[in-house]
Amino acid sequence: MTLSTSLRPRRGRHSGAARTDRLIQWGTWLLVVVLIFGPIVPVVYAGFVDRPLYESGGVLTLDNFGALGEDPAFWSALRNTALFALMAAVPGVLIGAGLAVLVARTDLPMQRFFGVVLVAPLLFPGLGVTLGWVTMYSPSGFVSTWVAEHFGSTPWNLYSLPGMAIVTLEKSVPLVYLMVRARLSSLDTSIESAALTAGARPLRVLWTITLPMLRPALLTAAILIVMIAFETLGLPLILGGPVDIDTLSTYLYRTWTTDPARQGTVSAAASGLLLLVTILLWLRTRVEGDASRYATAAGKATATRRLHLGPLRWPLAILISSYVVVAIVLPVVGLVMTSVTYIFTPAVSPWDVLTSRHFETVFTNDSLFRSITNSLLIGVVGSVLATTGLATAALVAHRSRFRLRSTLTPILFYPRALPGIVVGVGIFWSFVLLTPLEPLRTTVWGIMLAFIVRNTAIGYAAIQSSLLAISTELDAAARTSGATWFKTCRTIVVPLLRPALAGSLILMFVSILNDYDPAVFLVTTGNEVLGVTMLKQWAAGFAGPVAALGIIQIAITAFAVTIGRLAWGVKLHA
Amino acid sequence: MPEINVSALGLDYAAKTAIDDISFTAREGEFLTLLGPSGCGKTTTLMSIAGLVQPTRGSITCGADVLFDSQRSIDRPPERRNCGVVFQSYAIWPHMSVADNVAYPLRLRKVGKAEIAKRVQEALAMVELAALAERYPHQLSGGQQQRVALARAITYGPGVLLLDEPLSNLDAKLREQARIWLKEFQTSVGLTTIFVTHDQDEALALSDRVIVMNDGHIEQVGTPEEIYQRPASPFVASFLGSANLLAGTVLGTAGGLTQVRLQDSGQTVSVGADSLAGDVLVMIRPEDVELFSDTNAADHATLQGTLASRTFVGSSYRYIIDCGGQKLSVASRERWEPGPVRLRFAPERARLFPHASATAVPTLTEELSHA
Repeated sequence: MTLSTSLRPRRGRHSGAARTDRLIQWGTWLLVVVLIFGPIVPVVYAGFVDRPLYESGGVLTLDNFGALGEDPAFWSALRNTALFALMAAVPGVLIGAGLAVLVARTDLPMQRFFGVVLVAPLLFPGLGVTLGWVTMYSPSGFVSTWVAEHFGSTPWNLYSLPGMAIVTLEKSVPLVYLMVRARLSSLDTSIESAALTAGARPLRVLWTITLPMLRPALLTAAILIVMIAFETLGLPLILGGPVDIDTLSTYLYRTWTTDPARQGTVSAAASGLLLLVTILLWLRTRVEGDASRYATAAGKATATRRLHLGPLRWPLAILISSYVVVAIVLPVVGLVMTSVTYIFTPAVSPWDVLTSRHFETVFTNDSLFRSITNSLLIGVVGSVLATTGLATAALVAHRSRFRLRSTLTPILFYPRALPGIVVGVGIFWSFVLLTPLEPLRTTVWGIMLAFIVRNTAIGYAAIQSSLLAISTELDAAARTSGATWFKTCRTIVVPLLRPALAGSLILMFVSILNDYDPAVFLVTTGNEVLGVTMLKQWAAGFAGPVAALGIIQIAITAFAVTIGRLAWGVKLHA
Repeated sequence: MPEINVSALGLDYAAKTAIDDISFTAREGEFLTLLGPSGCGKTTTLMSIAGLVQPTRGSITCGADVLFDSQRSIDRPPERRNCGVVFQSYAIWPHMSVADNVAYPLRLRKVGKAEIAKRVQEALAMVELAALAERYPHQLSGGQQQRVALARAITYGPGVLLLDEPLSNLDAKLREQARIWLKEFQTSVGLTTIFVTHDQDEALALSDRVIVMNDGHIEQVGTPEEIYQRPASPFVASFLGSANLLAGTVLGTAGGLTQVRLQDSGQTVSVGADSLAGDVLVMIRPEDVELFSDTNAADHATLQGTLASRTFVGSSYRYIIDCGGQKLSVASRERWEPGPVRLRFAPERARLFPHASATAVPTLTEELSHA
């Protein structure tokens, strides 16, 4: 009988192992706290002292806030940002929600096609897309010029607050679309069938039953867009810059770069921005919590009953198709054409001015080429480091008895409220002030750190949702079999988590590749990254090479996503 | 095999006491069952022994080993408790073959390759799965998965076997077979076993002793026969099988019998002698009540009632008899028609409880009328 010899776990080795477990758990927690709150400290602190951080003997004061209050430029930036946020949020929510309902709940033609195309912009690099809009719809853009030639004038102006809001739709519509679709899939279609049988016509059902049920999702989406409007930097810099329209983030950026004497004031403004976005995040989390409480019982997946649009079917399909062409296809076409022509205008046939010069420039100019290799380098290294760290953090948060485990998830989600520009400045100051870290300041690794910090929530969400779906009894069984916490994680949980880890790897790679706001203060010669190079080249008037870089960025992103899908079946935004 | 000693174990959550200072001992080689409704604390107790839940108070020992002691701040991590645990979901690791699942605890203990192969083979043979060693969990049926979990839990010779509702995921037919198999298995390995279930039939069929739990505390400890035949509380009486609970008042005790006057109808019944006085509940199981026709049994069946409803349940009929306001459930193989009837039960089959103890227990007839 096998049981006659009992194999006891060895005592000495195991108590050592338990110490290792605790070390890993504390180490992970400290690392997360330092990385995420570290960069905020100098920014907030600088707002409350009377002299720049690098001068010693600072005295705590509120003067900076007073000075800020007396700066009319600050108030106008704040007003602009609020208007911009409003103009972006309202149409963004209406269009995104409308599309989601039509695609998910009605017999609209070409649903599968729309389902894919509508979310595609989420994978486009934000800066590239903005430039694509400029090439098409700015006063000298292709479409604008064509319209002006045929109708005398263009009824829109991209270099304005409404213009900025319209370009924001590119990213906000797919976000709203996804959030509303997720909410719709948790609502049983029988609530709509019930209204139909009560005698309501399909459109009335959508208006009186479906839309009200979506209210929490719409509110969350609106808050999300407002948050984006408050923190985005590249878009207002490109579209507002030429006409001197400042938003909060460009106000911070300009003052920081041009007026070193006013660092205290700007830091005060940055703290204010941080507080505001934090409140928005808190609001959003609250609304989301409410939303889940009001979810209808998610019963068995019954076949979705689709509402009949009747004669409106094709007109609506055509309307949506034109949206896809105008807002998604044309900007990309504009970017592509700008990258392969000397000049992209309706006055000249593009075929006559074709050139590969811009790509040649990109590959021969040291600084431009370096920005590609640097971005790839930090993308690969950063995604691996971030995924390792985030996976460990998720295991500590959800699979350990570590005392502070419940604080990890909110901390890792908090960077959603960190404006990129604030992270960038914070990391810059941390490197300046902490002498041992100073050498990092001018390397790509500092930028990588900033990008990782800003995007933790994306990778963490991917890992966490899968981790929560793995039964805790699987690790309990390993623990009672004699495995330590770390051994259990390594041999049981991580292997089961592999698809989610691949997903996090791809998402983090794409995010790091396409991010740029936090790097604007960290870039010098040698550590250029794609986004910042594009921003600077654009400001210097080199549209062609910038477009070429944008195309390369899109190509790398598409390549990474395809690899993920083929190799690991990673589904992004599923 | 060591014995498991749980002493004054308590666990408080923020708003609720999950385990209310319970004590019990699982003797060497014993099959001990924790039985109770969901939320009674039975699984929490089991997981406290395994080290997966951290109790607030008390102590747990396994032989001479202290696994947990709140006063001495001892809380051995689960990996050093040497318990074999079978979880409700079986928790077979889906990315490992059957053999790898069973070998995992042995690899952790740095057992040699040949020894691992031998032990895995033996353990799988014991659960009659030797042929399926190379299969993966998704290729196994529920019953086979359950046996893999058992094999995995015993290969390394644990001090105690902890089973958390291992039969509840099997369908009814399979469950009955698995029950017999599990009993034989436990007897042959001779491991001290603590078994958690909410199923009274399983508890009665498998256990050497049963601990009935309710709301975090122990209602009764005893052999299956004891807890079924002499329940210590109305809760135990109704949780194990069906029980009628009739309100009444003790009139007095004489000649080895206690006379109780039933509420409402005022009729008197005799039960086995008891020291209780005042307001009581008379517990009698439906199968212990005999029915007689109203006309010809007045001398030996003194209790009168009206047959209110009849339900055919296959092996017998279930009747609801109205005894002047109090409803009584009766099981009988004979078919009776609605109308006046007489009832009788042997005094030693009935039990008395103080009336106050009945508050939380739904009456049997209420349950029946809901069904």
